Amino acid sequence: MPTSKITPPYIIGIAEKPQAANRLAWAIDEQNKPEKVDIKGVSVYLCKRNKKKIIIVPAIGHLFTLSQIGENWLYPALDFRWIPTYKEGKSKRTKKYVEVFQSLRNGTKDIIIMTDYDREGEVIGYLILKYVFGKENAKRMKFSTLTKRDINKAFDAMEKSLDIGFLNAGLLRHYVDWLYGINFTTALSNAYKRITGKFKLLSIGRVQGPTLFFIVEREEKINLFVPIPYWKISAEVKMGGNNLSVSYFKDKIDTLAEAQKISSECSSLEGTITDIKSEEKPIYNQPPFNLSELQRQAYWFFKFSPSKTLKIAEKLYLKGIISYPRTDSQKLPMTLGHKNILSKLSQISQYHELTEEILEKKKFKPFEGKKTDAAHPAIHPTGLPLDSQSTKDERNLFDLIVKKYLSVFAGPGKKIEKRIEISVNKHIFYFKGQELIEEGWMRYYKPYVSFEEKATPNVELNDKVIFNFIKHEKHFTKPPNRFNESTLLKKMEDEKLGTKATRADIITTLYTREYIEGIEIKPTLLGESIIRVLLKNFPLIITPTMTRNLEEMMDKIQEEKRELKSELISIQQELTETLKGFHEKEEVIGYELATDLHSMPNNNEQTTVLGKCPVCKKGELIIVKNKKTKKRFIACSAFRNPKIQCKATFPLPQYGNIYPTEEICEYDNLPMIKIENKKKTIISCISMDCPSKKSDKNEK
Amino acid sequence: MKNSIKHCPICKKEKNGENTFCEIHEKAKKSLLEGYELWLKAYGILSWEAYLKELSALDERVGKTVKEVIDYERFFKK
Ligand SMILES: [Zn+2]
Ligand SMILES: [Zn+2]
Ligand SMILES: [Zn+2]
Repeated sequence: MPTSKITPPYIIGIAEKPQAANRLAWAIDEQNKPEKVDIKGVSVYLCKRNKKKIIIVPAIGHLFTLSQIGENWLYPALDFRWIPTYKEGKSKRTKKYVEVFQSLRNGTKDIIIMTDYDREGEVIGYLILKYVFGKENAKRMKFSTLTKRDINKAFDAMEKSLDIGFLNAGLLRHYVDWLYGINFTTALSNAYKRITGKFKLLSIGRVQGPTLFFIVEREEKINLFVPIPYWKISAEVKMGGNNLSVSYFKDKIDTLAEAQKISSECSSLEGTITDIKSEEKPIYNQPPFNLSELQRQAYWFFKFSPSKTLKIAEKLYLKGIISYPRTDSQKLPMTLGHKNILSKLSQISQYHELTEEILEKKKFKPFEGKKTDAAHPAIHPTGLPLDSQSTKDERNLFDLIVKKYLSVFAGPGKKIEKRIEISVNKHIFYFKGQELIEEGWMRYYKPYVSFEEKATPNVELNDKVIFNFIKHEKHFTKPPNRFNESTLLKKMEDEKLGTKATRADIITTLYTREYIEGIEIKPTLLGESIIRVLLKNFPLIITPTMTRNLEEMMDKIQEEKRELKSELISIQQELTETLKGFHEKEEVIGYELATDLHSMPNNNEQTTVLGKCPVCKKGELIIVKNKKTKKRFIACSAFRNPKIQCKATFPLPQYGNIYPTEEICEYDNLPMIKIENKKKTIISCISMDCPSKKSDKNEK
Repeated sequence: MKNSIKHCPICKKEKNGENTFCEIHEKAKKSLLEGYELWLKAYGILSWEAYLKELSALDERVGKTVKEVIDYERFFKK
């Protein structure tokens, strides 16, 4: 037994993250004073409730990963099993968390899953349940915020079983991603090696493929773009003592002849006011935030990448300040207790005034959008204030979320639009003005919304007006914009690629694999080449249809209308067929890749590329052999480049096979390699000085 | 002589027998021709050469691949 304080029997509560465990324990313990116990450097919490002992133990996200059964670098690879992630040599910090669960196994009489309530949370909890405790099912708490109120409600209304629909949909996604990732990566890398003799890791995933395809497709449109001329009529009048620009009724003139005709027919510069219109129009409210809308607006206002926004939102959630951010919902049901949340927000000085206004109106039915989520409401504040250690980024995002929340309790705004029509020799020009008459929701959403007033001059029908100028100007059509992270995320959402939880990470992966580059996203040569080759030979892998079908299948499994096992088998069969085709074309594909990447073989030199050089950041780390001593080591490919002459080297063991991996060391961001000899296989950082190689004891 | 016919005169990539260019440069040529129709409509009178010259001067807005075809048409084609 790890400590005398913990004596069996007890109930284990499985939390998703350390901070969540802390908040859960504090709320569940009757006295709100759980006892913190340290096991192997992990804090677990001993709670008492209804005379029962509950130990709340954190995971740190996923503790298990899928691993291939059978030989590596052969495809199709169809068989896999779950193993602790650290045993793959990845995320070493997960080891102690697995061991803590194992050490508590024997005294456990009951288990409650307290992970985040969604597909991933279900999978995280289930894998610990099955592979540490040897059980198939457990009780389940479902909550959307880490507040005392929600946690206690969830505890009292605990389900007797995991959500099997969520679990199976989540498992299927892991299986399919694994199957596609490993097989197509192996197939592409093999094809390349077959022609060039070089090993290069060419990976492509189920969602990455179609996403990269959008970027390559867009770049091709830009590269093939021919600008077309058109003309605009630009005009300025003197009205009410001011010079005001007015617009011609036709926005675009297609031919030079017509543009010239208009200019010359208006050369008198004398016009008459032929109509004045005034119309009241509503300014409609926008629905509450779901994750993608929050990501979009945070990108717009703070330049946060979508993955950064999710990270900050996650932090705020773990502190209990906002609700669970991974949601599609635009709904804020009344059961959330809006009056209570608003009263709490009113105690935060900067929101006091605005919140009091809403409380006085006693209208607590929020404006909602149409989108729903199976597990969670829209993102909203819980009423808890930020703590004093909050960063500027956290404060910004919090402010955006609070203001949005406040704004949905107010009605639409109102404006008056005025339009003055001016005729010059049968040509019609408009002046458009607008005034705000009611702020409505915009009052609460400042500074994230603004209204530009444009005063209308006092004129009357049939008044004469004089133009300062009326002239035609040449313009050119513009190529489509490149995607940025925010617009790409929106595109993925529109095309139903990936999930709210995974989209941002997929974009990050495309950057780290060096398939895309820049803030205005461009494909790299590598990214372009992979898409071109796949599009030509296996369009199914990169066109969005397949992925979309899969998302639909997962939804059906979630609703328990389909079975996990049979769906998996049919996916495996389909994949095997496709891979058979790939195998037959391996040579062609390899040849195309090699030509594109300018790496046709020369004098049979074998090169293994391990990853980008951390020193010059330009070359690639490769394995080389000293011609005299025959000893092998790692050096930078930019060594011979006269402009760079990078001197980076790393020693290597002289025995066993060495393979590149996709992994990057979590301590120093250097590439990890797989070293295989007769006795064992290890995955290791290439650096001898890496902290991961110092003894594990000092780990905090 | 026969050997050289099989390669795109711009990028030296392989091409299909009938075509002048490789796949992507063929696409660029097509886009250039479609653009010419619209420019001709806009100006009434415009020679192919004048069109190419104007486009060259527009620089950054003209697609990269199209520009390669323009340069080929203007300076290398017999
Ligand atoms: Zn280097
Ligand atoms: Zn390292
Ligand atoms: Zn070409």
